[in-house]
Amino acid sequence: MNRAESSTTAERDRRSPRYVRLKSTAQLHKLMTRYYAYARYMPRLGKKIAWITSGGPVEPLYAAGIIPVYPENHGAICGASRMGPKLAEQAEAMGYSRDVCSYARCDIACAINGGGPIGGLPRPDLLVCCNNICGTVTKWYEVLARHFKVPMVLIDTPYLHDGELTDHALRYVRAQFDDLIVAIENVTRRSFSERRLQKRARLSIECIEAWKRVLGYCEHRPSPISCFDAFAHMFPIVTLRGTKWAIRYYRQLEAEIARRVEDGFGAVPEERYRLLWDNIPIWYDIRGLFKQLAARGACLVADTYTNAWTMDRLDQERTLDSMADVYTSIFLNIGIRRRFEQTAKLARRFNVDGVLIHSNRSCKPYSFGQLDIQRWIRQELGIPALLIEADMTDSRSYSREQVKARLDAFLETLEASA
Amino acid sequence: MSTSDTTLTLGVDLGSTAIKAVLLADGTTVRARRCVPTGYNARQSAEQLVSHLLAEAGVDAGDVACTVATGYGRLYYEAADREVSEITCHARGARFLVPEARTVIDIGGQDSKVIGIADTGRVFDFAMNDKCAAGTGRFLEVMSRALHVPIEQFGELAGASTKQVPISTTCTVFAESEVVGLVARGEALPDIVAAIHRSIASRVATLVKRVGVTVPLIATGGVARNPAAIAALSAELDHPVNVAPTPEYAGALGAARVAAEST
Amino acid sequence: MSSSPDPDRNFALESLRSATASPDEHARAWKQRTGSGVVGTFCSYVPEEVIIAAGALPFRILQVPGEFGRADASLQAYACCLARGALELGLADGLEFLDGVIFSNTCDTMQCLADIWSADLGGDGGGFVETFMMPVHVSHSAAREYVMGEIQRLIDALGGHLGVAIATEALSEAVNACRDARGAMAKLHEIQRGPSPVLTARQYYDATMARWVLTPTDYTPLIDAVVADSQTLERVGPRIVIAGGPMYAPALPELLDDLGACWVADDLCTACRPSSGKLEASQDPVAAIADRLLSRPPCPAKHLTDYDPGKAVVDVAREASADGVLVYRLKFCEPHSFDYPRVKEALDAAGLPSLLVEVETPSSSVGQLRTRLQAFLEMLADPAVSGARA
Repeated sequence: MNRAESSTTAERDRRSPRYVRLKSTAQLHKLMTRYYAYARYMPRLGKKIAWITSGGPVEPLYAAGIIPVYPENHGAICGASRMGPKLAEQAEAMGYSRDVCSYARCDIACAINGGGPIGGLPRPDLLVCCNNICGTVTKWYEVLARHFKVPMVLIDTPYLHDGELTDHALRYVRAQFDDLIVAIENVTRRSFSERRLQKRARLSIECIEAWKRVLGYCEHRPSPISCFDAFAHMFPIVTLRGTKWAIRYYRQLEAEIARRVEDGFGAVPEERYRLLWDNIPIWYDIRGLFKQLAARGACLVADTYTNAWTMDRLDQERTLDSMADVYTSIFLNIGIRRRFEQTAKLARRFNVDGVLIHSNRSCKPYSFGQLDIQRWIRQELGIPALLIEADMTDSRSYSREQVKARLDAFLETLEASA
Repeated sequence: MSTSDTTLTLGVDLGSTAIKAVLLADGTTVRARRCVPTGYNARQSAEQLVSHLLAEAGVDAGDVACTVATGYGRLYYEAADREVSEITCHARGARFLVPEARTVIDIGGQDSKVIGIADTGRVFDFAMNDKCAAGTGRFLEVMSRALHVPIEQFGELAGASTKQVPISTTCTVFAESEVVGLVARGEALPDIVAAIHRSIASRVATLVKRVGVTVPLIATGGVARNPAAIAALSAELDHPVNVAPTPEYAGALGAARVAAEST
Repeated sequence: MSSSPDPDRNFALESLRSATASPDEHARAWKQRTGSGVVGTFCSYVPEEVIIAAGALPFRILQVPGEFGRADASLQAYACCLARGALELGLADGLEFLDGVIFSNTCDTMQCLADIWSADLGGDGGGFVETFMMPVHVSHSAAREYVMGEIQRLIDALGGHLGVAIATEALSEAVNACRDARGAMAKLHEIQRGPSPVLTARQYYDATMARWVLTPTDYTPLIDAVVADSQTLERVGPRIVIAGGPMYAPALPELLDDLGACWVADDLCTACRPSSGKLEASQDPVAAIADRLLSRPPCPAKHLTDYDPGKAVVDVAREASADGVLVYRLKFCEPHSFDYPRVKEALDAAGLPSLLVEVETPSSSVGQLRTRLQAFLEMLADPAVSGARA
């Protein structure tokens, strides 16, 4: 890249519209701080802590008064605070291969050595691992179980290649939910309340509906928020689903977004191209990507990641039964052809002009199959799809210059075909 | 002309970048040593090197009691009596040069290795990076070309650095792009060169930690002659790293020692 | 290739070598000779008994190429070489003799590969693509019923694809034949890890790999012949145990032979690990298969409550009086990579020297592999090594 080209880019970056934070973001930060403080101090009053995977059934934990903590969320914070490489190196020094999931490497390093962007997570009394998102979490949680010497509950949800959940698979999953309840009772030394679970399921359903509405506002032109906002504001749906805190927060957020729509405010003021993002975000370069896209009028209006928390079919009567089905049928646990179909639905609904596919070194189940999906997007949706190679947390596997060049070329193709 | 009561042994280290040879008398005194670039024909280069070395020392091939070959090309040097891994040879050589050495850090042209030595002098563990240019002399070569600055000036330049700029990727090829980007953004050359050294130090430090940091840490190999690289490595490990005398000959020396031990 | 009755040791070793050297030729010849089907598998958890009961030859897809030009269009480079190589072989039409394939949920990569395979290779002329979803939670009380359900589902599906009705008697016979094969292997393993091993590393490789090529009825007499006519190796070098993931090229065993070491035991999914486990008889063949799958030493991608992978490797090493352990894995293998620090910790605590051998492909960088192995063996030969940790 020569001096002339780089100065044009620098100029363009300066001309790029400013990223306008949602006002609710301040409230979001307060909520996160309160949540982590709660998790840190309540054990002194006898409350129990459970570490749980992002796709795990959290409702029973809240029902039993156990505070859930999400190591993957912590991994995202490590990425966003640019601590990924440092923590990953610590894990590698312990013997963990550089080729395994960077969330796991960062989390294991913090769990064993302490430190990290928020001073580490509170010690777990229980580990709840649901492998609907990947098999890596099973190995990660085994390491944590050995280190913390606490029980680990595994909920194995067989992958649905053709989308068909057989009777024997459903029974198997359902039986593991029973074990979860037993483990919860052992940790809290109280019997589990079905009534409380139903209440939490109701709150979950309400929260999911609120989140769906939040994401749905992106149908507007211009879109009032972009995926970068969604990535930040997904914290409550993932970690506080099942609580009133999350519902209250999303009501506030919804109101602010609705006002933006009324005012005709667009996250990208001169919105020319609407894009869809696939895979987990590149946590440490969200601003950089926003700026590059916004400078050309491109706005990310939908993504498969935040949409993974819009599950239907949670039933507040037959709670555990429906949970066995719902948690087995999430986006990452179905075959790639069906994943493409769901992606295509999003692309059509949000009227996207192109797709950005993050080939994420740290997430094999989310990334393998993307090359076929890319082809199907081009062939069946008739829109361009760009592959971006990176890692969600470990910036050592990211070449900003390479990605910048590719993205520029992609945006130029969009401009040319407009 | 050789003295009849002296046992002469020869160690030949056939590296991918350079070939080194050491002639040792009675396993204790270095009679002669010599180094040449490997070129495209390692065997030929090694044979020529050895014949010059022996001539220089006034010794015939027949006077050499035992020859041990080591290094990447050791299997091709047919004149050797034995071939021994560079791990064993570097350990022996480093201990010979620095008798208290416990952790040997060898940063070569195309690979790097760390060897853990017990207090008895035996190797108990080792780690090698021979798959990736990052953390080897090759990384510095690539950067030297990208910056149009000879490697010999790197040490001095890095010393003049006043600001920490990041090089975030570990891949040599991507790092090259990153460095070009840093230049374009107007970062000062000393700062960029310092960052390059921190990068190589970081890779090597990872290898050291796998074996364990036990002092004294002794650096061998060609890159050990780069004071900026050694300083960066010491900073990264938070322990002093000392450079063995004649660091690039540690392997060949060790090979000659192994030869002496077997006679 | 048919085995002669009561083959002698040399014939047996040659047959094992030839099966291992060209598994695809063997499969094609078998297909032509018998007129029956050949079904590809990718995982030792796929119940071969079902395939055999259907009259077909189970063919474990292992010896795959080390270059991935075609596969790169559908699978990223951070997948292991076995997945990439398998896809490459499929796309290069190197598996045209297969009637179809059965994937298991071996790991995230293989799970995705099943979908990619269906998309790129399934359908017209591509052969059927079936899945067998093992429970990951093998120690869970509900796993048995579940896995029996999966076995039944496979029986129905495979029967449909091959146009046969798989009878219970046929399944029982297959269960018995496989049990006999595992029994023969167990005897060979016992001798090899004892004080007088009988096979070179290359021969051990051939003997264990041939298991995935030959039918059990062809395989068992060959192993029996080797066991019956066992001659102790002339020179037994350092006793090496290899633990880890699939090893599907002879490069490493050949190096061990070249460097004078002796391969005495293993915990590899291409050798000993799938063959160990419960060998009890059962009235119900589906239950027998389920019990076998659940009780065998687990792959790291399966979960057993309170399982210690470190202890497992140490036990194998101690049982074989190992001098050193090679922990072998394919680059990008997450399940094995997560277990490694615990395995290393356990080996260190047990005073067992170990070397991590991570390969990008099993036949690549043999020079570098040789250097590492040689350095390791030189280290073992130093008398002061064990217990000499700083």
